[in-house]
Amino acid sequence: MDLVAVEDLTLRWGAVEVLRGVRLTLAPGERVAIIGSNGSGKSSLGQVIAGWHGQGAHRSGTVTIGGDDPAVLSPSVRPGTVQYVGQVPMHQLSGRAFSVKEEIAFGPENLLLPRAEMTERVADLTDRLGLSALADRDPFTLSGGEQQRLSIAAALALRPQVLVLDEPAGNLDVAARGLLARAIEALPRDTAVLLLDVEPDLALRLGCRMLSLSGGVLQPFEPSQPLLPAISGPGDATGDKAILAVQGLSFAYPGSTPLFDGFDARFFPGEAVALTGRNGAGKSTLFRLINGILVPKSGRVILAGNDTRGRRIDQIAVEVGTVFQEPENQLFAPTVRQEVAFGVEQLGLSAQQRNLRVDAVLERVGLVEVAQRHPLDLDAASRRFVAVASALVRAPSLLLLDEAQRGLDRANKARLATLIRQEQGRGAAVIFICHDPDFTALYATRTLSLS
Amino acid sequence: MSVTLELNPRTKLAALVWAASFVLLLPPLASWGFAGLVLAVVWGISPQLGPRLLRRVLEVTLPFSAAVLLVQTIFLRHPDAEPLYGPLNFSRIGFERGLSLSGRVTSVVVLSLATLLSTPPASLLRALDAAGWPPALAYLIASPLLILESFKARVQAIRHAQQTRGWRLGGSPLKRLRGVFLLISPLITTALIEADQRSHVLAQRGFRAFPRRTTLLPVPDAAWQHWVRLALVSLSFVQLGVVSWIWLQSKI
Repeated sequence: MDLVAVEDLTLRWGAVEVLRGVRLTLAPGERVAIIGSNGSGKSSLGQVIAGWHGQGAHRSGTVTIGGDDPAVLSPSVRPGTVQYVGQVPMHQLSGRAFSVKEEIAFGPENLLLPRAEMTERVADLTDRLGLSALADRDPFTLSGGEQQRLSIAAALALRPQVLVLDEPAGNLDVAARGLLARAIEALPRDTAVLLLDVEPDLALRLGCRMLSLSGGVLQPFEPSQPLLPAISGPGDATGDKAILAVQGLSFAYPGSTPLFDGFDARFFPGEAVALTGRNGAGKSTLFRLINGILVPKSGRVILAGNDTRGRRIDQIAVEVGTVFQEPENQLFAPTVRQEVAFGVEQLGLSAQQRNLRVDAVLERVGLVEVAQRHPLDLDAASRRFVAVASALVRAPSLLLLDEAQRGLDRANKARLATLIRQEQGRGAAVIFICHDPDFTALYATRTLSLS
Repeated sequence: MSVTLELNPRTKLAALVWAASFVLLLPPLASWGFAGLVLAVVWGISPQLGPRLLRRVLEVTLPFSAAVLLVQTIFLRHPDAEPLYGPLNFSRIGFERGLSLSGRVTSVVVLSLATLLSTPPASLLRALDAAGWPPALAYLIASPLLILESFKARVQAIRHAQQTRGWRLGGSPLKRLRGVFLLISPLITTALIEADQRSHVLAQRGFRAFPRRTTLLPVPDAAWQHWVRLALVSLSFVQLGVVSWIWLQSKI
């Protein structure tokens, strides 16, 4: 008998039809993967199966788990029935736990499990997901990859019959992906897993039954998806005078072991450098040391020949453009156009010059059609490109992209790669943090690995 | 410090309730002395906590006390008001009232901050959970402490995004005002989005599935602390009764 049964599910937000006549079944213990591009409706489907949706959406068709609608399951039964782990790790945290082990124990605590049982589950999951060394850390201070592993551990602590994972490997480095795959493989034999992803790699490794979702319609998976295209551009630096030189950089967060101790690196015009390394290795911290948000303990950051010591963040921003992780937390204007225009308004240009720049960037990044929409109304991929456009509009000589390719489908990765190539072409240096070896191999002129 | 930290957070809360109601019984100037005494005791127990407490108390109470004293002494027209300059008067009654009011508020602020600074929010929540308090009520009490950190993180994220796009913090009052507006709207929007997400996460992980919850890491709670709490809360009721009686007598 099927554990999960989705029958003719149609979901509509206003005039937008997200899912159309979806039919899906999962048997106990079955592993099913749904591969789809950004905005194809994967998350909506996963959330409906987890009983999240209902208010604000027009829905027809039925979804049952073990014969019951998950949305109306008793609050004490639902946690052990289905767990959904979404794409943005920070949003999966309870907000009520002050340490990693408490976050994992949060669900079992709610269900009044005996303390010995909780202790055992926490120890087992911290070990399996590589969180033992972080057990006493505040969940909000973890890196994106660490938070992602934590949110999966917290879901597994409830031992659900159905586990829905929405792009679970997006934030993870190669080693952490291996840990995740092994953790899924080690799940009880009767736990059904629904994997939602833009890439089939993890699903293939887990031997999932494969489906694809396109335009809200579920279809058989077509394995011959187009590969990432090679995009022509500078294969190496186009200038010999470093845009950025990091000299003898040392830095440690209070109470932590040093992340950098005498670190040296140089970056040249026309380069696209991939910054790689395990989660928590200090990649994002290096960006924050470069753009002035953090101050090095010792050492120097030389930008276009000038030491950044004593310079404010906004002064450094004349040369450095930054796209942070999870840009949805950093978008603040009521329309895409205003969001993009904000950066150029600070440059002291005339209104005509500003408009020309904004129009050109919106066109280049492919945001013209959504220019008057609220940035947070867009899908995750489009929001990412709003953040990219907001940095590009200032024409920085150094562009820092913190996992900007994460969670993008192949078409959007190619779109991002084109922008990187264009930046290289005009003589800027681009440094991008990346856990995707294919993207790095194709689009980086060199790789810098932090350990 | 060890004594205050080892106390169960519920005992500290009970002590706070008792002390706050005790302040209402004190004569005007004595409330200032009481505030000073609490500060001195905390400083004596913990030389690390003392200076932090003093700084926070001054930040919170100095502007308030100054404003209350000014309004009561100079701006409000009391029976003994003597003309000072134009519409301004000087009143000794007003001065004493201002001193009394600000003294009581300062005492309560000192007590609250001492409790807050010596009680990790995690311990407070765990103590309430272990005592079987309803999860929603415990969440309500601890949420200001929980929200503060994530709110600060969100403000910082937006500020950093704006600064790395060339926005300079500070500047003229008009520019600062614009900076505030630039923060408020995204803060509200993202808070609403996050609240919706978080409510789903809490529901799917069984929050409020039962009238109470348990805890992985219980806070120590000795039997004698139970009796101390009972005594403190009972005494608070008695004190509040006396305060009400005195107030009623003054009205008759």
